[in-house]
Amino acid sequence: MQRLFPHIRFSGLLIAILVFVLLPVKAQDTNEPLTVAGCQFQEYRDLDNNNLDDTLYLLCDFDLVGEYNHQLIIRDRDNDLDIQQPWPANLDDQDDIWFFDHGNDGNYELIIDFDRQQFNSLRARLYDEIPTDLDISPELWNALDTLNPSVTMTTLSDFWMRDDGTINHNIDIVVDTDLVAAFISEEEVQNLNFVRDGRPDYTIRVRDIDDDGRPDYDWRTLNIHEELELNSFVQTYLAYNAADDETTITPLLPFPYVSTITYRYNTSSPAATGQPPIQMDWELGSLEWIGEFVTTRGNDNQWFIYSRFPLEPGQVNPANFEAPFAYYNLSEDDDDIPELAIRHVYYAAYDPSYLEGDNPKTVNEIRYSWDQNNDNQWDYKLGLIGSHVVNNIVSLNEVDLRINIPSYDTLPTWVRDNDWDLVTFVSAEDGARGEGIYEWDVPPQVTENYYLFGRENPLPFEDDGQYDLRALRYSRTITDDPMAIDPGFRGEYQFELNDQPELYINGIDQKVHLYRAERSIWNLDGTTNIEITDGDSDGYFDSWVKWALIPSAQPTAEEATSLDTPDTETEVLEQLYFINGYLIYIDGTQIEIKPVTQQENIATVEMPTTNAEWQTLNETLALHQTIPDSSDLRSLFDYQESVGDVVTLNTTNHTQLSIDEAHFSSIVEITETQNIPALGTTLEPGYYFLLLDANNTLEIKPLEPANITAHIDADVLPESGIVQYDFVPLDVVIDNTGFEDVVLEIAVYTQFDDDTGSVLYDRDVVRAGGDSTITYETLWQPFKDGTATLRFEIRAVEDQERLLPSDVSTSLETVITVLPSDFDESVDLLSLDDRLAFGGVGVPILLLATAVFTAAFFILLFLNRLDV
Amino acid sequence: MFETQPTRPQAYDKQLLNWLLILIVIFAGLRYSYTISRLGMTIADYDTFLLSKVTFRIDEADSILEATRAYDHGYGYQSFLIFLKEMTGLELHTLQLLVVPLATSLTSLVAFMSIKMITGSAYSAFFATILLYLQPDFIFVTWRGSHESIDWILVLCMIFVLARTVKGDLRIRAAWRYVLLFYILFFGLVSSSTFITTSLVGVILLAFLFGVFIRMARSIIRNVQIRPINSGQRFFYIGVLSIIIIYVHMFFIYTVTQSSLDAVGSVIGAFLYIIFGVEQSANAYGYVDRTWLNPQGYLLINSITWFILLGGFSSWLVMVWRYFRRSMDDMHFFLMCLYFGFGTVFALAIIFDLGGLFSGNLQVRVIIGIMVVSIIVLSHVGTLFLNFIAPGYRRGIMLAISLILFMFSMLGPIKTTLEPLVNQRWVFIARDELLATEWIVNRSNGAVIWGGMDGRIPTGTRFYNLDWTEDDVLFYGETRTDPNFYMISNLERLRWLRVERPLPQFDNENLVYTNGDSQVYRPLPQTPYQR
Repeated sequence: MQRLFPHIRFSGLLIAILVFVLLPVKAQDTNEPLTVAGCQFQEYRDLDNNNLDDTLYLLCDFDLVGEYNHQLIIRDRDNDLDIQQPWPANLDDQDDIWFFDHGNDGNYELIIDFDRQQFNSLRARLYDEIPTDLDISPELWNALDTLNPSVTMTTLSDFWMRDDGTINHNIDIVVDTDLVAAFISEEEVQNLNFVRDGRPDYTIRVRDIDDDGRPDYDWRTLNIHEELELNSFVQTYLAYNAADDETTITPLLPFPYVSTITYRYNTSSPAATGQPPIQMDWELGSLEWIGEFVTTRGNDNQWFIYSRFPLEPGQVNPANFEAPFAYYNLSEDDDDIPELAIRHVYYAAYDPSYLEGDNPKTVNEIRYSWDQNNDNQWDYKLGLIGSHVVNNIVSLNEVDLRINIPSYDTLPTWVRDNDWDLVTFVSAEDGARGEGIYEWDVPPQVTENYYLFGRENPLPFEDDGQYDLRALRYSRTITDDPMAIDPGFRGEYQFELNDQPELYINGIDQKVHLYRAERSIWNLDGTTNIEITDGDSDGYFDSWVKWALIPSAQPTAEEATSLDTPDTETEVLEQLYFINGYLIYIDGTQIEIKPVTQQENIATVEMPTTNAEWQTLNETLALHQTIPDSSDLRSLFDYQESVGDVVTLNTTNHTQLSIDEAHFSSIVEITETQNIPALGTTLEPGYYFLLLDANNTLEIKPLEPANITAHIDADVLPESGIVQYDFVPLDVVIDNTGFEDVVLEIAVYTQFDDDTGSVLYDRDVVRAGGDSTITYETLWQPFKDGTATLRFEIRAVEDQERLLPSDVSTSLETVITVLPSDFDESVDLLSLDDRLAFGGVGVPILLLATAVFTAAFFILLFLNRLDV
Repeated sequence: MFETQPTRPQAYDKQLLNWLLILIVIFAGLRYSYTISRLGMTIADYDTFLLSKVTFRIDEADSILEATRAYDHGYGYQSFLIFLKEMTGLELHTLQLLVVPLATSLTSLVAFMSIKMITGSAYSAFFATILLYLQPDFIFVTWRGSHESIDWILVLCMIFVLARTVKGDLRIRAAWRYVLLFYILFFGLVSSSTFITTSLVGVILLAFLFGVFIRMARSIIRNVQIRPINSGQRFFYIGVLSIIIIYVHMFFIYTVTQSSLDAVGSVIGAFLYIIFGVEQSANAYGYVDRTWLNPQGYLLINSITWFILLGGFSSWLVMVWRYFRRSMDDMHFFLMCLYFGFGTVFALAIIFDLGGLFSGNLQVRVIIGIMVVSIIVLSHVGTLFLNFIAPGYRRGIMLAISLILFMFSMLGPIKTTLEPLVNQRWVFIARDELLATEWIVNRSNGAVIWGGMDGRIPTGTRFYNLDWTEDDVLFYGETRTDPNFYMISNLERLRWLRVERPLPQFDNENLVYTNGDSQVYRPLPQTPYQR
């Protein structure tokens, strides 16, 4: 070895010297001030001049900017300060008083007074309203006892933070000031008149079941003081972490719960950052926020309650409003980002805090949002309204609470297995963030007016007779946007479901849809929509119409800020229909029809409640969703393979498009001679009637003008026994044997046999579709008895546009015998009220008396006893 | 004929005068009694309801301004009602339906004294007072529980005071007392009804202008020097001072009144409000066709009104003609000018009504004023006329007048009560209708009720349930068209048949209540969530 390395000894010596030389260098590095929890040692002082240091001065980084220029002064109160110990050992948080001096200017922004309580518990009283002439002296802590602390914290065990860094999360906190310690705004806090008056404004209980430094419960009560009489304010804020995976707090100051303002209440959760929840505005010198200890939203295994009822320990408590709001780790990836969020809003019947106690039945509102592809954005949402009385006691023994709410573990299946009355289904085609998908939650006006109070229409109508769905938008204040849903979302609804919601994958567009939905609106980009409907009313969508706002009608920037609703016009871009196994595509140049073997429903799917179901749904979607772009109707048409001849009509003009159960028809204009081999015909220029009927027969015939015949339905008209004033049903059946629609005016005349002449009784306008039969239903009320002749004059309304004008008119007559009414017309108008003796015959007597009196009076004058 | 001064009344038979005063109060009481008893205690008049409601809210809040509902036009009548309620312990409805109308009979004394002051003749005053209480509109507005019950007393008192000061035999100190009394009365009127007060100011200013004009015209035509008279300039001062009082009242004392002014929305509208008190209401003339089953019969029923209007106008023309012929004492000059003021306001109201301006039913608002002054003018000139008739003829004329007045006294109440037998605009609600409506509200808070072809049943029901709010009940047509209940009665059915409107049929709805005469139907559910 020495042969190989002859100078090894020397080398060893050299290395030893080098180590000795370099060690001081290293030691010099370690001479950087020791930093513990954002503070560095400054000095010890002897403030009471007894030659014993009694105060520890630290320089701290209160503002979290890396500069240690604020002072934390720890005044030893129990004479245990030992300057021989490393200074962190003198951070006495059990008996001393800590003074926080932001800016090191001699003014204290915060004082924490630590002391011990019974049963080994510790107490910290936080004062943020401090007299400016305060002096650190023994008199001070006596003076503090006379003040009300803003925050009082009490532990259930004998530590705040163990040496291993474990922070105590078994603490009770009482707040007596106007800081924000709940999910409410600062303005709302101001309205609550919270002042430092010795009355608790918030009480907060934090519990860590296994004492591992990860809090499990955070239960807060916002105390509405009796003088305010507010019963619609959320008073209970209870959060529970079901997986015991709450992020631990990273101390930023020696008292680990306190720091500068960071996440406020819950917008950036401690689950992600571990920031201290008690937040101080050092510039203002006031405690401003006490954020969540247990995150309500930023994790994937927790639930919370925001209830208007305060909860009381030791009894069964009702809960309302968000009761509960739960998050689930459906993917089991433990990434702190949930894949399922269920918001259950609950009000029992006649809940005094809801609708002033007038709600006649229990109402549950569910927002069931899930992230199907685990990209940390919500993909689907079911918005549900139902009426299910909750009768399930959830016990939280650690805080001695029993609450009547659906259990966290069974909430997803409880939602899935119940019937729901109103439902919306939303697909966030581009993903969505937040507490779930807010878009198209069933709005309060629908829940309250329509569902609870039974008003007839859930929403106002648009000109086309459809519901104006804009009220369902989350951004409801955008009144001038004609779109019914925000861009990137597809929404569907059914307001009379009264069943379990079912989802399916449509064979044509391969999207997940709501079975039995009334309509689907897909806002592609803010100006282009696809409206999907169920033409044959079988519960599955079969009609797609893609339309866009025409450029001139798109709101300008000025209009966009206006509250007025602009006039909007739309332009249909393309249409796709799936009827009787035929796929029909229409755009501005042609109509194409082809038979296909596809089904409307190719897979029934369920909202996932477990990881297994979530995985299964992923597999089902992967299997069936193979079309790259479902928003291109042409692609959807082309994607389906034809199983027969394709009919293509070149036409730029088609009208009277009609779709109903197993029926499709339209009038098309052919401008150039076309050979249609599939139909074995050649079409010369002109108008044609294209028909796909219930027998799956596809026909195209030359257009025939409207032609009507009519008769009164004898089955509806009573044969006898028609009585005066009764309503008589009269159904007129009108058959349009032509192919063109015609708008008809129907005038009903009545004539009685008493020669009073013919009287117009009613006039109405109806549309008779081509090649179809309609029934005009009316009620006739005879005002007198006798023999009446009813005459129906039916003719085409003048000045209507028709491709092939024709004389359309007909007349019907029927004779009806009307029996006299047995209505008692002898109502006694002379005796209106029996409460006065003057009623009845007394009245005319009184009238006569006053008249006679008048005459007599004048006769008296007439006798000339009074000189004129 | 009128070349000489009329004979002044000689010494009265004081005992007879006292008896007649008693009889005239009894007579007025009988007129009100008939009206009260004809409709029983079942009134369904909107103004009565409104004033009662406002009074109820004031009583509830112990404050006029902090009451949940304030009356736009004043607070005097409400205060008066609450005073009576507190003093007597009677229910508000009893006061409104019985006590106040009967007590209003005493207005006849005020009317007599005022008219006697102007005409200087007890005979004229008796004649005019009787005529006044035969006039159906006057009885109507002072019978129903509206502020007009006290308004016209105040107006008659003010006329008395004005006339007294015009008379010219007062010393300055005594005159000041009357001036002070006038403005106290004026303030009372402002507090009760800003509208009637503003209208009265319009009348006074018009009377002043007329006085100036006619005196100048007479001086030119007759080439005589104008003799200064008391009433001329004073009308102008009164007008100006009154406007100031109204302004102070409206903008500093009872600012609620401003909302009426704001509501009219334009300068012209505000002007019309000041003069006529424009309020949105149905056209008065079409209204006759719609409500009286026989419009021709209405002409007869209302004949006393035409008699008074035509008689008053003719008498006034005689006064004007006579003024140009010879001088006139201040009192009658005052009367002539006053008639012009009321008459012009009335004429303009008719012109505006016929022109459809502001869709206001103006003449209904100002007719009482022209009636009162017409009656005074008519009785004054009529008395003068009788003076020149030979006693033999005079008896015949008096007999004829008695017969005519007998007829008027039979017909007038038909109009006053909007006699249900011949009129379609009923102002009563039957007890069974009330019971049915109360049954609904007691069982369905916030119910929306279809209650017939107009506001009769809603008004009547609300009048008898003043504690109800709009949260308790809404009536069809006021807010929505999907009622929770239909309430129909045999009375209401009869009404529909009388105007040949299709009888409402609820055979397809659920009958949920009946008391024999009134039924309540619940519409069948149209959605799964309707109950």
